Amino acid sequence: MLSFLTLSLGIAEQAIKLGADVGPIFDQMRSVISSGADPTTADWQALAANESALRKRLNAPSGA
Amino acid sequence: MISYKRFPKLLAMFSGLALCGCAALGTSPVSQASPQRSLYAIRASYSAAFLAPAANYRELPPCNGAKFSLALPCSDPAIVKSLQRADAQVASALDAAQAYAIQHPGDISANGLIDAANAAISAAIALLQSNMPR
Repeated sequence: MLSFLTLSLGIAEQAIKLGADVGPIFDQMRSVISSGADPTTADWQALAANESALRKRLNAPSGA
Repeated sequence: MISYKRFPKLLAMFSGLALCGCAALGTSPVSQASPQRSLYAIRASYSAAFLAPAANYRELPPCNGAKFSLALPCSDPAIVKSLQRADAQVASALDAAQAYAIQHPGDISANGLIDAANAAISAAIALLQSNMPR
C-alpha cells in the first residue's frame, strides 16, 4: 500500500502532469463554474464532448 | 501524457478530490446555484473524478492473472466491467436530472433528481476507491 507520505509527495507532481494532459477542457469547466452564470449551450456541448470521449475510452472493447 | 506507472497515485488523488465534490475543479459549493449550474458542476467534477481515471485504468493492459504492481500496472477486466456498470448508472441519473431541469427551469424539484445523481456518483467513487491498487 502506498504510504500517505508517498501519496502526498506525489500529488503535486501528478497535478502538474495531469494539468498538462487534460488541462484545457477542465480549465474551461472550472472557469464556467466559477463565473456564477448558468452554462451556455456551448459550455454544455464542450462538457458533453469531453464526457463522451472519456466514456468511449472506458467502454472500448478489450484489445482496442 | 499520464504515466500508467503513476496511475495508483492519480487514482488516489482523484478519489480524494471527488469526496470533496466540486473541489475536484477547485470551485465553491453549488448548493445555492441553479439546477443547471449544479448539474454542470456535478458533471464536470464527475468527469474529472471518475471518468478520466476509470478510462485510464481501462487502457492499462489486462492483468491476465498477474497481480497489479507499480512495475507492471495492469487492469482487471472484472473491475473494468464494474466501473462501466457504475458509470452507466451515473450517466442515466445525470441525464434524468438534466432533462428535468431543462424541461422545468426554476423548479426545485430537480434537486431530488440531482441528489439521486449524487448518490450514484458516490457509489461509483466508492467502487473506484475500493478497487484502487494497493
